[in-house]
Amino acid sequence: MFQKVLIANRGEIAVRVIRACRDLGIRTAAVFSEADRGALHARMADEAYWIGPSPARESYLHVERILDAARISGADAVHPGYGFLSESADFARAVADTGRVFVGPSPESIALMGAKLASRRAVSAAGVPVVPGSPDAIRSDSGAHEIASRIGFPVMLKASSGGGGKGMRRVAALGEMDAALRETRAEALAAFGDDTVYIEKAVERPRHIEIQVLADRFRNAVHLGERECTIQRRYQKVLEEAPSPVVDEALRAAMGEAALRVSRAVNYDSIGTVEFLLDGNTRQFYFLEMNTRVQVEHAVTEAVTGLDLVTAQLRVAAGEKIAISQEELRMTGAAIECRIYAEDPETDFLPSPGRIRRLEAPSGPGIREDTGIYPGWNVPVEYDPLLSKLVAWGPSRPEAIARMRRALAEFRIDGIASNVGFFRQVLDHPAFLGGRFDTAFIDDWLKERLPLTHTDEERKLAVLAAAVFELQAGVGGEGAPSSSSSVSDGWKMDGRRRLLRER
Amino acid sequence: MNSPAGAYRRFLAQAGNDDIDVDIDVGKWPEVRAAISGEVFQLRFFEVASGVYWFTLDGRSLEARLVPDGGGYRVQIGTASLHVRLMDPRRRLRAGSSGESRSRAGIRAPMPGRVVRVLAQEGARVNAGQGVLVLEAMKMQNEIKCPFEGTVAKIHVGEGVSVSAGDILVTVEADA
Repeated sequence: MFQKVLIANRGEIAVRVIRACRDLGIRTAAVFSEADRGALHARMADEAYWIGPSPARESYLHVERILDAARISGADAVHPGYGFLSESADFARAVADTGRVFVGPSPESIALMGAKLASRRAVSAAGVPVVPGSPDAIRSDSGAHEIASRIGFPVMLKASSGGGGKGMRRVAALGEMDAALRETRAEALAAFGDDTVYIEKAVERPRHIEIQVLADRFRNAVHLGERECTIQRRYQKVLEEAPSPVVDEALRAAMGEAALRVSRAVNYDSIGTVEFLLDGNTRQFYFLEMNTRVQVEHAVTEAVTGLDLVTAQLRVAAGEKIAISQEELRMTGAAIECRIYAEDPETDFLPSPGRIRRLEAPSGPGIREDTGIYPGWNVPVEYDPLLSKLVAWGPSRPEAIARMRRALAEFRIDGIASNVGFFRQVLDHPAFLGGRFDTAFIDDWLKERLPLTHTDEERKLAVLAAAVFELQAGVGGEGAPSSSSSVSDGWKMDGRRRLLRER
Repeated sequence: MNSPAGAYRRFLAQAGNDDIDVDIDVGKWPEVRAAISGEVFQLRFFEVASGVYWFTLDGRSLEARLVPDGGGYRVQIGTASLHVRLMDPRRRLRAGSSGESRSRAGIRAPMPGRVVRVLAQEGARVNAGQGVLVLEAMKMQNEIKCPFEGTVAKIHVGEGVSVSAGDILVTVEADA
């Protein structure tokens, strides 16, 4: 096993990896940017190295600076987390070139799965269904017209180097094709440095189901069941659960077997996720993409299987064999994850960076919280808005939902806006409770959703609380001063005045 | 209310779109007597932390949580979240006669971020709800919209500039 692991990431996933390393007796080295001075992951790690200014390009995406930190720390392995450099074959290769282990699959597997057209071909050759579409890149506009007409509209135009819901466009009819080609190519070139695009048939109102796989260097591989990731806003996942309310034993076995075929076809030897689109009517499933890293939502699989995916990932990276067989694996109960973001549902989900004034996290039976924040932490404007992942497990789906409701009601994040209240509404929605939804569910519902309101009594009590606060601080109001020294002691007064000055 | 007048303080509060009169006595803290728009509350506050008050009302266990926000407070009670602004009641007259000061208004940054695109031009007409610039924060691009119809008087920021929450981005002359 490794002696020391450098974690090339930040936020909750860096904290998650530190915990896995501690459980295995491995020392940890964090990296941090200027904005992350004092961040939870840097504070928790055994060692922490400054790698540059706040913009990710100059810190968490800067390969040389991260490798320098790895050299200085003497780490014998590098864990990339998710996002940032986690799916960069060049980074994986650069880590290996310094004589260290990259905690993930081979650079070849990463590169193949990062190129969507090449991965479609490899997966198709392995006998796994892919969405009908163009076998090669679109070379000419007329070629696009021909292929789209053959497979039938609507179609999706996708960037070969894209993924994660970015660099794609739906085309409903032939007349929209030329403009869509132009826009998708321009967007793909800007975002991924590659304007190769291809065409797929659009699967209408699909469900997004993914299979977790675990493989080692001895060609052993198991699948750990599915995660339901259909609840998305603007193609980005917000809530995930395991198992899926629409996947039965037979479909799970079929999708699991397909995921293992994908994994074997690319000599996969780490944890990874094979994403599928499921047609809710025909129950036909199609390969979408494979994520060659730990997934944000891995904890719901951990909750229903009892496995620790990050320690398993570290073990296979260190050359150990998988310790469990497919027959031994069981999914028990149900788990849900809510991604707690710094965004304000009442202002069209505007980002809400800033200082966490107070924080009360939920707990109790069945609740797990993987967080990257603490009271007093200033959530930086430079990085993605994920604050924390709240996971609820229960013996059944309704019990997991009840526990999640209870946990959301306990959760208090003061100082910045969050989507905690939004999730409380989602968890009351009949379509969610019934398990009847598709990828457009949230976006459709938001068009008719009523904003959170307050009662006349709540308004009066809020006003009263604000007035009490000011009187205790000795500011504001008209009339003869009440004896302010009897209101509270000087220490509290000082705290209140400080709070007031900061506004 | 039959308490000595000297122990009372008077506020004019704005919560949502409503003006609310508050007469309050905290002379017997943690017990508070207050008349709010004529309704009388007698509550005993337990201060959980600075700005967090726990109390019971008709047997219900409630908590009010305050954070300073834009010259007032963001107050949360249960699932309700509202902005409260307190003023000296003598300012009511002034506030009431300040209609003309609204004719020229600054559109402020709702959060810190970086200006990635300026959409408006000085001297150009803007409609209510029209985007004036794009602000990037937390890897997301957000269009900042003009809340009313008018003419762009001044653009205060350029592309690539970092701004803080509350900074004036664009000044718009509203139609009279």
